[in-house]
Amino acid sequence: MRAGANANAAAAAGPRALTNRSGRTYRPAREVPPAHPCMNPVVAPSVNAGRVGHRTVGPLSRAGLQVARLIAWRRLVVDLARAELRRENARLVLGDLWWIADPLLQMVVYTILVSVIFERTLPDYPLFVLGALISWKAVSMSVSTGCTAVIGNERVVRQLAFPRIVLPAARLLAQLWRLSIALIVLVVLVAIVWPDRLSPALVWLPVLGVVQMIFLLPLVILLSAATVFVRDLANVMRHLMRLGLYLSPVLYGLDQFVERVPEPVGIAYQFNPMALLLEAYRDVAYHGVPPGPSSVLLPVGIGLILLPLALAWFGRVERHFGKAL
Amino acid sequence: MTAEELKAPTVDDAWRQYARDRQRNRAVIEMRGLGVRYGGSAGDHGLRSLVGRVLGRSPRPPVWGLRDVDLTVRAGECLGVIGPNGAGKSTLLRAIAGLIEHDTGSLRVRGRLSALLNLGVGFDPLLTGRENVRLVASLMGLNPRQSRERVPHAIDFAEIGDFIDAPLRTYSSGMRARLGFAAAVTLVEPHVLVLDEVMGTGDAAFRERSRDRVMELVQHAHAVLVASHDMAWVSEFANYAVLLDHGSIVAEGAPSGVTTLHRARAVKPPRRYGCSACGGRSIETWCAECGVWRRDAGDRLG
Repeated sequence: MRAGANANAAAAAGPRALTNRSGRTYRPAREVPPAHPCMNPVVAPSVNAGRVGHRTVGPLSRAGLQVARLIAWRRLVVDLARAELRRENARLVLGDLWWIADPLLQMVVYTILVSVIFERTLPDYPLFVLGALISWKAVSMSVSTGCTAVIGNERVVRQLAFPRIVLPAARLLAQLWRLSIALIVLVVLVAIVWPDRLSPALVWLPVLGVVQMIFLLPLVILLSAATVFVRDLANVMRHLMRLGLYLSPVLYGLDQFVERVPEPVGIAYQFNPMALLLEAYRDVAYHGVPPGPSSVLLPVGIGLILLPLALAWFGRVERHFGKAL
Repeated sequence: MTAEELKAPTVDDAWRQYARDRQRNRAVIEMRGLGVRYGGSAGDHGLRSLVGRVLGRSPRPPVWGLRDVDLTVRAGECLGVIGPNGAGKSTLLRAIAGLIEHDTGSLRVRGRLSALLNLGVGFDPLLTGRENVRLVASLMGLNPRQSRERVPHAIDFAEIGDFIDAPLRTYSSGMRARLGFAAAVTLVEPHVLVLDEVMGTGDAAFRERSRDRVMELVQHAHAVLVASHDMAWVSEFANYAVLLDHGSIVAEGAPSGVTTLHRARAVKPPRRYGCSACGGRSIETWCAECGVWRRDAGDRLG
């Protein structure tokens, strides 16, 4: 069929057929719908967050938009987290056993370090260090993998238009999974090695895990976006985390730290949400008492205040990712 | 019946008819004065420029990837984007796909859009082929049901057999490219299809099938944009073509004319060699007129 010969007939029959020079005919399947549901800015896989049509929206609605996208694309968050966990242990002989072996080996290392080299003795020191160590490991891993959440997936970000907020969220979800396994290992270990320290307070562990992730979420979101523009940040954070391990009450108790430093520093230090959280883990796992209210409420409060700010900023800068990467 | 009516319509007739009718079709993509800038103040976001300024680096002048591009793609069109390397073809397609932000002008896309850029490179070498395809399906926004339905199609299309459950790092580069292409063309059925140089993957049989599949998508899509160096493909299948150079549109219109213009621009005028022996204009290595072998160009002959 030639377009020139059948122009009138084609015009009458709705979508117009097109013919190229080799006589092949194309006919649109149907007319373009006025507005497809996927034009809905919430689910539209577009990087123009913060813009609905030609309007620019304010920071609060931009944060809300990011939350809506996270909910709409929750499956992708889970899939990305699962892929990342698979990838981590894919080429290792022990494979997923490393989720269990990792915290145990770390505990052995620091126990040897502290009790043999520094000759400090505390009853059941391995348990004393293990609870806080698991928590700290989750923090440092979240920060370091969170920094590379966007730049590590550079190739996908350059090719496909999905909401970028799923990347840091997926990284954090993967860390939550690792943390849960490590906490289960902790409970099993307590039951086997130190059965007299088994207490009902251990049910607080999952709560503390969730609290910690709420606290980390805005940090990871901010870091993942900032690293796109200043890549040096990933290196800086690695060293900061190293320093943090020794400055936080991981290898020693919070009270031991506070009594050794000048008073104002000690008081300020007690409002450090991370220190409170680590101390809460130790309360639960080592002392067998429930954590104080401030050690749960302060991190959650800080996390929830920072979260809208982090989401809004992420929404503002994510459209520059394409060029900056 | 007059002689006029008996004459078979030519390509030009069809094109003129199309150019007249084109205005009636709905605009699927509209861009006005679109500009995309790289580097310069566009890439500076606070901290970076601040650090650069402190270190005494002068800001680089911006480079315009696209400048003042006005383009309308209408329903039912297959648009071929051609131009030399670095002309801004990929930038144009990536801006339409929403992957980079434009700095000036306006851009509007109606309908579900899918971009087939070079997907094979987005794959993860440590995961298996099947896991990779599933991940790409969720990245494209398929829900679990759609994913269950279409992932097997993609795997069938790639035809890589038992390797699908082996890690991607064990694949040959051809297999990886096939899987990438299969995932790109079978997982979604877009309204606006953006293809960037994805025609030439795999062996002859696979190229044939991929060509068929792309044509199928072309027929079902409302609009298709293809960036290609394959002039034969563009002049055969596109029904509108745009020639880009240095970020602006040089020519647009009937594909045959635009591709011809592109070829004419691309071909450098042949160097005129002279034979110093006879003054002949032969450009062969052997001067036919005086029978002298030319060692080098021009007057060093003979």
